[in-house]
Amino acid sequence: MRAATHPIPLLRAADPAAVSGVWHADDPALAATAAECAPTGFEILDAELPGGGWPQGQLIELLHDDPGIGELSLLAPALAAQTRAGRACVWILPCEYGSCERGLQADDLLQQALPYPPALTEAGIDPSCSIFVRPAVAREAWWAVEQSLRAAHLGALIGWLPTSSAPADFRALRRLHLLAQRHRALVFVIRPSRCTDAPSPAALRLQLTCDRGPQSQKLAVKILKRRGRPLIEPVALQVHSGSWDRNAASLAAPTSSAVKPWQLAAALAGAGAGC
Amino acid sequence: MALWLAVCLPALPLQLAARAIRCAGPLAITEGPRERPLIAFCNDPARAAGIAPAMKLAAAQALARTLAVVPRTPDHERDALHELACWAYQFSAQVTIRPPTLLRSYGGQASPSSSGLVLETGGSERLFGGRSELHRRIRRGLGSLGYRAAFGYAATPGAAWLIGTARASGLPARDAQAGGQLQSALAPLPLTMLEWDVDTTRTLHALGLNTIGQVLGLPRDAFARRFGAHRLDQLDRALGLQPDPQPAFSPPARFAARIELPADVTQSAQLMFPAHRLLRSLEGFLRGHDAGAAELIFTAHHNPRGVRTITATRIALALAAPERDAGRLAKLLAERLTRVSLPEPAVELSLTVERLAPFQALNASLLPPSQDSVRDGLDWLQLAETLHARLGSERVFQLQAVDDHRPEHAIRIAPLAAERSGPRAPIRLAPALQRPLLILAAPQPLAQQHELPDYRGELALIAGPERIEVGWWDFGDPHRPTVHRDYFVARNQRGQTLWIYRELKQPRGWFLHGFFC
Repeated sequence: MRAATHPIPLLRAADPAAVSGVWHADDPALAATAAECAPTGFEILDAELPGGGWPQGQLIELLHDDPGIGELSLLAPALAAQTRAGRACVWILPCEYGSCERGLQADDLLQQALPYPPALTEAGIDPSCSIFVRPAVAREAWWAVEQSLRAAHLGALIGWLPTSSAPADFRALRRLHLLAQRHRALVFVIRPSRCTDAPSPAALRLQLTCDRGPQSQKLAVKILKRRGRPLIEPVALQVHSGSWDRNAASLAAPTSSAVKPWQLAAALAGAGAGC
Repeated sequence: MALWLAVCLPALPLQLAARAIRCAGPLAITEGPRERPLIAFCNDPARAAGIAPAMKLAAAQALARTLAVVPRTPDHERDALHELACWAYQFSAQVTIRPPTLLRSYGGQASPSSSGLVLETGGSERLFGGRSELHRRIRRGLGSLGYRAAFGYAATPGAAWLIGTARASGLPARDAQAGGQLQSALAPLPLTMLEWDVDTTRTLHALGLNTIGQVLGLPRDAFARRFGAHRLDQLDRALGLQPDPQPAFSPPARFAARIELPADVTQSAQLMFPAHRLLRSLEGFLRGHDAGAAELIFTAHHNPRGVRTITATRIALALAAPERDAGRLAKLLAERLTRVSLPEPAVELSLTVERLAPFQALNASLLPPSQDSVRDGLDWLQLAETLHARLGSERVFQLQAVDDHRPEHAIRIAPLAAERSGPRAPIRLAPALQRPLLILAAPQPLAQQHELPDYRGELALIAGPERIEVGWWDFGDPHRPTVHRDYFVARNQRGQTLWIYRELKQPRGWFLHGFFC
């Protein structure tokens, strides 16, 4: 066993120039040769992604459970770049009836959530360049994703994909991955985090959680899978407005003289009811 | 120089019955009195079984057990010719229909009984890149419509028709593209091609006159006295010695075509093949009008069961932009048909287009599509229509911002439009306002603990309040109520950032309205 692990530190110790013909698994530049990449808009994340951005023409999987931790804000700069270039975006929204088996309250609410055009415009995403699909059942969702990937000129696709058994999901995702490789679109699929342990053909898998620091809240992006060496430490990104975090911090601080928010609300409400 | 093309469709009733299916077994068209029908036309498999025209139906059925029998309906033939004329209008501005001749002589020599079209192609051949290219297009187009035709070219419509019908009945004939060749081209044709009445033809045969050339050699005034001057006029017109004005065909402003299904169709997917024929016909019609269709209505008619008639199945295909390419329409229809189930077997499929829309052709690229090609509009529309055809307009849509202070009314679900709403300036928010990327169509009431909202954990308010108290001008509209709310940005222990509000009115409940995703 020990003998088998020896050569790797030896190679790493050697001068890279001396072993130029040898592929280094931990070299992000080499790992990125397979795909072109679009910058994410977050420099810290770009540094960790092979090729310096979202790989185009590859399946990118985002795993999380809590809508509202900043998962779309993470994608927004890349989507804005696509719509600025005049390319179409397709949004496959969560299935209307398909996800009863998920059993999560948040998902039930997501079934009736819609992207909000004023906020999209604010983020630089032109809603008139987008097609929104609200599939009724899982079969329609997979079909719509597949059709979108067959279109020759697609800028980006964001799909909240239904889940069933792990082998079935793997087969369906594998199919999408092969279709995605035919062109340069950004293909994001959003799945619940319980799929973390299930196998996936995606080139890049990110698990999104929340990183609650003492001063601010950040989005912790844990790279589960990427080309090249694995990354153990999650990347913390500031995706939301920074002013909220200052507010939150000041509210949390015991020395703050600010009115407690619920008191403020009550005061305002009282005023509103009075008039 | 005028050049006329005759398109003769031999055995049109047989072609009409067979064109909705790929390969047919023995098939026969019957004619005559209802109680004693006779075979009028039969296809090759039927002929191989020993069936011949003018045979009794009972005898024919004894010869071929699987014989499919369709009674002849002259109306359908006329409709089909009309539809074909609409299609042919894309190639020529002067199209004339030669209707089917219904008077047939049984027993004796079978008259050719062809029907078809005569078109003037001399004027348009340059537009289509030469005479042979135009001919190739017409021939291929007829093939895709499911027709088999014989062609004849001549400098006069009458001669073209004679040459075409001669070829349709298997006789050798030469084209007469120049006026000087007319006489020599028509001379060897048999007299039966002229479709004169049986008595005249018989008399001429008894006189030893069998070809048109022999008749032309007779003294004119004697022939006119004996057989009528109008017969000589007919020959003179064919030879170009007299003018031959043709009734002009003007295509209607709406498209309607139907196709009979010889075998009952039970699966909606089986409608694809006949539908493709209809779409080809529609494409020709639309090319003739230089228009596109934005809404196609297919109707599958069912066999009346006893006295009870069954409502026809209506399959509407709505498009985001006017289209006329049969291939693309067929793709959309295939998606649409997956949503259709036929309650009863279908016996006829029809297609109508009520309104024609101006069509703007999309330029195809000269170069093979590269990855950076800006063929954006085309692909975007194709994708949108494919999704729309299968899932319907309530599941595939666009979202537009509306200038309204009420958050739930600032969004509009719009059907897919042909052109992006480009020139309209985007509605911009005031810079200080924060809006969530995902909004709930209906705000969700939140649980409360000690006046504090709760969503999967206690919520901390990190921004706000933003008071929205508008909408009094819509007073009385139950769908657009006035809102009195204080909006906050809130966050729970799981890190979810939410957009919530508190009603200003009693009972002053908390609601969740969006996610800052």
